Amino acid sequence: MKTNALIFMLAAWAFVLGLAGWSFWKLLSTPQEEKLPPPGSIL
Amino acid sequence: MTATTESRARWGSRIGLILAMAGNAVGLGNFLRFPRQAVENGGGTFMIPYFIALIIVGIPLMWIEWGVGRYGGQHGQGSTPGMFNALWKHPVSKYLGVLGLFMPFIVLIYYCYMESETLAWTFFSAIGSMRGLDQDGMRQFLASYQDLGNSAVHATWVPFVFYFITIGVNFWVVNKGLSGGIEKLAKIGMPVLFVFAAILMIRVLTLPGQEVAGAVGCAAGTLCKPSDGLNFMYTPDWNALAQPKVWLAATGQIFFTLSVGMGSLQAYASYLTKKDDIALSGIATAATNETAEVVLGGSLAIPAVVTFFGVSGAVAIAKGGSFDLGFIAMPLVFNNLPGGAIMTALAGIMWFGLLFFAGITSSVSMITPCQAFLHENFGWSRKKTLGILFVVATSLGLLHVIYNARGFLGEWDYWAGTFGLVILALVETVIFVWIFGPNNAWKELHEGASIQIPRFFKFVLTYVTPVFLIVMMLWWTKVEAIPTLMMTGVPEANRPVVIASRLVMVGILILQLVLIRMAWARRAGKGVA
Repeated sequence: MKTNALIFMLAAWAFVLGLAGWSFWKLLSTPQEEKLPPPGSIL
Repeated sequence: MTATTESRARWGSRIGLILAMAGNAVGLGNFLRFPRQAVENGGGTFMIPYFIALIIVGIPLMWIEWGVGRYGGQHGQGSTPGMFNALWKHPVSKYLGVLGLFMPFIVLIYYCYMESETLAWTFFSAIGSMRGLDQDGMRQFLASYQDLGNSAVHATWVPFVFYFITIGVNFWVVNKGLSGGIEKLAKIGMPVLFVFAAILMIRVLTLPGQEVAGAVGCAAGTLCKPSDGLNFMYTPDWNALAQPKVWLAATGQIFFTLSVGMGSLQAYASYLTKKDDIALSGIATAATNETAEVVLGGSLAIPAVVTFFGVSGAVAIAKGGSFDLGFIAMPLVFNNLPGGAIMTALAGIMWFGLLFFAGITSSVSMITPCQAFLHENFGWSRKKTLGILFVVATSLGLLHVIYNARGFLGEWDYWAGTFGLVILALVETVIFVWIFGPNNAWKELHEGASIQIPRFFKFVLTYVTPVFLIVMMLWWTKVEAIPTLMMTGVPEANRPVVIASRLVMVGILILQLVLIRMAWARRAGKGVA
C-alpha cells in the first residue's frame, strides 16, 4: 500500500476508534443512577 | 397534552439506548454510499472535510436533536410538532414540526422497500440463486426484481412477498415496545452487524491478488489486490480541498450517516429523563456510527471490487450507483471467492444480512415519531396507532414496488431523504439555539451530563452550524433541487410517474398538517396549552 494512502487510512481509523473507545470508556466508568424497582415489586 | 411524562415509556439501559441510537444512524449508506463518496471526492483528503463536518455539524446536530427530544419528552411530547411548540410558544412552531413527521414517514416507506431487497438477496444468497452469474446476468437478476414488467428472472409476486415480510417485521418490533422491541432489536442487530462486517473485512483484506485482464491502476500491473482498493480510496488528492463541492459532499455524507434532520433521533431522545446524559451519549452514538462507516464500510466494497475488477472496472461499477456496487459487484466478488459454493453463500448471507440489520435498526426508528404523535395527541392505543400506520405505509409502499423502475422511489428519496433533512436540521437549530436561546440550549445539553462540553462548541452551535446549514441548503437548491424540480434528465415516459409521486407526497404533507391542526384544536378543547 502507498505510504500516503496508508497514513490517511490509519489516521482516519485512529480518530474514529479513539473517539469510540474514549466515549464508551467514559460511559462505562460513569455510574448510572440506580433505578428504583417498579411500584408493588417485592424486590 | 394527553400523555403525561410519568406515563411515557423509558429505555431499559444506557447501552441499549446507545445501540438503538447508533442502530438508527448506521444504515445502508455506511456500507454503500460512503466508499463511493470518498472515491469521487478526493480519496484520503475527503476525510479532512469529512471529519471537520463531523465536528462542526454532525456532533452539534446530534446534541441539538437529543436536546430537543429530551426537552419535548419532559413536556410529554414524542414528536417535533409538540417539541417545537414546547421550545417556542408561537402558533407557527407546531406546523414547522410537521417536517419531523413527514420525513421519517416518507423515508420509512421507501426505505422498507430497499431493506426488503437486502432481505431478498440474503435469501437468494442462501439458496445459491446467483451462483455462476456473470456481470450481465447479475444486472438482469437485479433489473428483473426492480421492474415488475420484467419477469425474466423473478416472478412478479416475489418483490411483494419480501416487502410485506420486511414492513411487517418492522411494525411487529415497534409493537413490542421501546424496551422490549426496539432496544432488544438493537442489542441483537448491532453486534450481529459488527461481527458480520468484521468477518467480511478480514476475508476481503486477506484476498489473494487476482489477474484482471486489461486492469488499469493496480500497483502490480494486471494483478490486483485489496490494497489497490485501499490505495484507490485513500490516496490524497490535495486539489480536491479547494473545491466547495467536496466540502459539501463531506457535509452531506455526515448528514446522511448520522440520520440527523430526520425526526427519529428526537423521538428516541424523548424517552430520556432529565437526569440522563445526552452530551457523552451523543458522542458515543456518533463514534459508533463512524466506526461502522470508516473502518468497516470503507474496507469492504471498494477493496473487494477493485481486487476482482481493477480500479477502472470499480470506477465503472461505482458510477452506476450504490446499488450496482452492493447488489451486482459484491455478489460477483462472492462468486469468485476461494472456498466454493459454501463460501459464496456465507459471504452473501453476511453481506446482505448486515445490510438488512443496518436497514431495520434505522427503519424502526422512523415509525416512532408518527406513532408518538398519534398516540399522544389523539389518545389512540399503541396497537390502533400502529395498525393504522401499517395499513397506510404498506399501501403507499406498494407504489414503490410497482413503480420503482420509473423513478417513484428516487423522487421521494431526493425530496424527503436528502433535501428535506437539511431543512429540518436548519429549522430545529434555529428554534433550539436562537429562539429557545443559546444559554438555555447550553444549559439543557448539560442537564445530567457525564462530561462538560468544551465552551468552543457553544460558539459552533450558535453560529457555525446554522451558517453551514444555510450554505448547504442554498448550494443544494442551486445545484440539485432546481434541476430535480424541473425533471431535468427524466425520460418523457417516466414524467407522469414522477409527478404522481410528488402529488402523493404533497397529499401526505397536507394530511399531517391537518392532523396537527386537529390535535391542537383538541388540546384547546381540553384547556391544554
